[in-house]
Amino acid sequence: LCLQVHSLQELRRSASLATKVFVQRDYSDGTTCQFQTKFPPELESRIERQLFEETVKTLNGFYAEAEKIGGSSYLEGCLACATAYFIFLCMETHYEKVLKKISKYIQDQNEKIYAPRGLLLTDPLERGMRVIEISIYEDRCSSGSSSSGSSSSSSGGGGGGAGGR
Amino acid sequence: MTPGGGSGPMKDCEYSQISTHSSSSPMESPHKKKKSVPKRKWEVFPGRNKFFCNGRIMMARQTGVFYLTLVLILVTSGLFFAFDCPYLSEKITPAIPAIGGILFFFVMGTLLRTSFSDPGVLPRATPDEAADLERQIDIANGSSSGGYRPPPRTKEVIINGQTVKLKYCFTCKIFRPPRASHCSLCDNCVERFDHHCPWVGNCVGKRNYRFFYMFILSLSFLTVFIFAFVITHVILRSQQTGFLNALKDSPARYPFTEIYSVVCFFSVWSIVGLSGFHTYLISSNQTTNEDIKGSWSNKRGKENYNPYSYGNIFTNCCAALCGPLSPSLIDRRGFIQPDTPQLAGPSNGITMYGATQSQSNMCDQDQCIQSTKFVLQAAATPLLQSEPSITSEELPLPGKTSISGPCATLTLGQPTPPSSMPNLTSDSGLTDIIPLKEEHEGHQFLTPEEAPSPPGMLPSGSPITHSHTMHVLSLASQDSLHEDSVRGLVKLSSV
Repeated sequence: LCLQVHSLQELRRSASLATKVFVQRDYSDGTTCQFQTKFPPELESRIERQLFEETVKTLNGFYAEAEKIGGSSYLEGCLACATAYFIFLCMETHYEKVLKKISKYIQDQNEKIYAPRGLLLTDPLERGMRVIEISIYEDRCSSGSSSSGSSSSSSGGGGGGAGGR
Repeated sequence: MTPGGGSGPMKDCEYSQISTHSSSSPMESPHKKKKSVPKRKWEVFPGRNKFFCNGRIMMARQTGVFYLTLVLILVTSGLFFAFDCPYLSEKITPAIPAIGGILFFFVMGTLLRTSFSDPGVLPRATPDEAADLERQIDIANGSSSGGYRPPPRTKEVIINGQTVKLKYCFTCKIFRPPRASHCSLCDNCVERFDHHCPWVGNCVGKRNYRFFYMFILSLSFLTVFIFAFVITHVILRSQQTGFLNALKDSPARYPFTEIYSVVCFFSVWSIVGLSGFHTYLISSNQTTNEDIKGSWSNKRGKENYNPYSYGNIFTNCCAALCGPLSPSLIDRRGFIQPDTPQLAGPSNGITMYGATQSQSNMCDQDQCIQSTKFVLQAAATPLLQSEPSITSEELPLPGKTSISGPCATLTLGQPTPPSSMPNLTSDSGLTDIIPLKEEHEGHQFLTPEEAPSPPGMLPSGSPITHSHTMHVLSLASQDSLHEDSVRGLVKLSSV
């Protein structure tokens, strides 16, 4: 039977992409990078609302930290200015450091939470910081499921039926 | 394409016919695996930019004026250091060439930073994103849109109490974030777009605004410095030998002295003026674009205010100049990833901007044949006709269906009728144009016209259809329908 927990690698190999959901940016606070925490209806049957919201809120927190204007960012800015910005050739900016953290976090979330449910988060950086792309996979093993593009596969197959629930 | 019968060999013929037809060079054997060198993303970048040093340096297409800027600065400074500094360092203090040197170094550093860095270009939407947006817009507008031209697309958001309209960019297929604008010269959407500066040969946007500002500020200091000390030099000499003699003193220098004094004089006024203007912009946290359009001016209404301002000048300045530097979103030097192999064909692996050819070149032959099968099945399956994401998908502009690449050719087999989308790219986009060509402060830089550029559209048309087809494949039924598939092929060939 195909009710198995998918690992991240397995997911890519054995599952077929059903559809993608895009979590858009939330501009109500200006141009800072924040994503909407509204729960997409397509994920209704795949993942708990709370888990999803927590992921997005944590990501928002990371981005806020990256873009924070405060003492350390000023210091970095002034130092860079003083060296005619040549220092950027050898130093990693605070933003870049946080982006690395974000990337690790997303990978972690994918492995622990999303892949077992047949979902995959894409780092917003790869999408121009516009969206959080969530790929919804259907299990190829769920035979006879005529995929109508809907994420909720009726035959109970797909990652949703996996041990993650 | 020959109408297919039901026989087996005929089917094989059809399959191979598709693949040969679609390969980039007609002479190429379909079975030869193309081991192309993986391309970097800058090589297939859809905007009108020039890249140097294997993607490390990014500039606009027109760089002539930038070289002029370089020459002016280098020659003027060079002459200053060569002819005036020796005299001045003797007569007054050697600190003069030292300070001059530091200023010059700073000017060059910031100029090169401004010109060579990514101003904050927003990458174009992936086909899936674009499709998703289309779908949402159609839902929002109601599925019965009267004519072929859907209304111009805007989204309203409330930022700090002020209503801001986000426009849809037809070229990049995204809703522009607040303060972003599409530069028609570079054919890119740029975040926090200020203006396109021909003098630095690049757009000035979020990521290089502080470099630009430091450049013009330091250049003002440098020109004032040089100008002042050239005058000082002439005065000192004329005190010794009389004014005319001073000028004639070194005959070789005579023309240069005049020329670069004149250059300095005019530069001083225009550059100092520009620095002053940008200081004002920074302190009020506006972009040149917003200022020229009067987006936040009181004249528009009493309630109109700048929602991005932090309230006080100091914070605004610090935020603009010392705030965190966001990373480049376009990943110029990354390698184009081949699609992650999936049976049903991936639509998520395609993050490219018009990279159909390179993508399809990397398609495995087997994958393509299987994909072909799925297309045929898809054509036969009426189920797909109702899929909203398909019907709203864009087709390539007419004349571009002859795209090379085995996978891309599957676009010929579009089972769905063309939507009204293609018209939008050229026609309804024009309704959004706000042509603004204004000179400012004596410097001619163009504020962007928000004109979508059809030529820029064409390359991006292809990956859409490519992934669209792949998307179709993934939805296709997995049951094999051989007779139906051949019949489907007949249908396709007649399209």
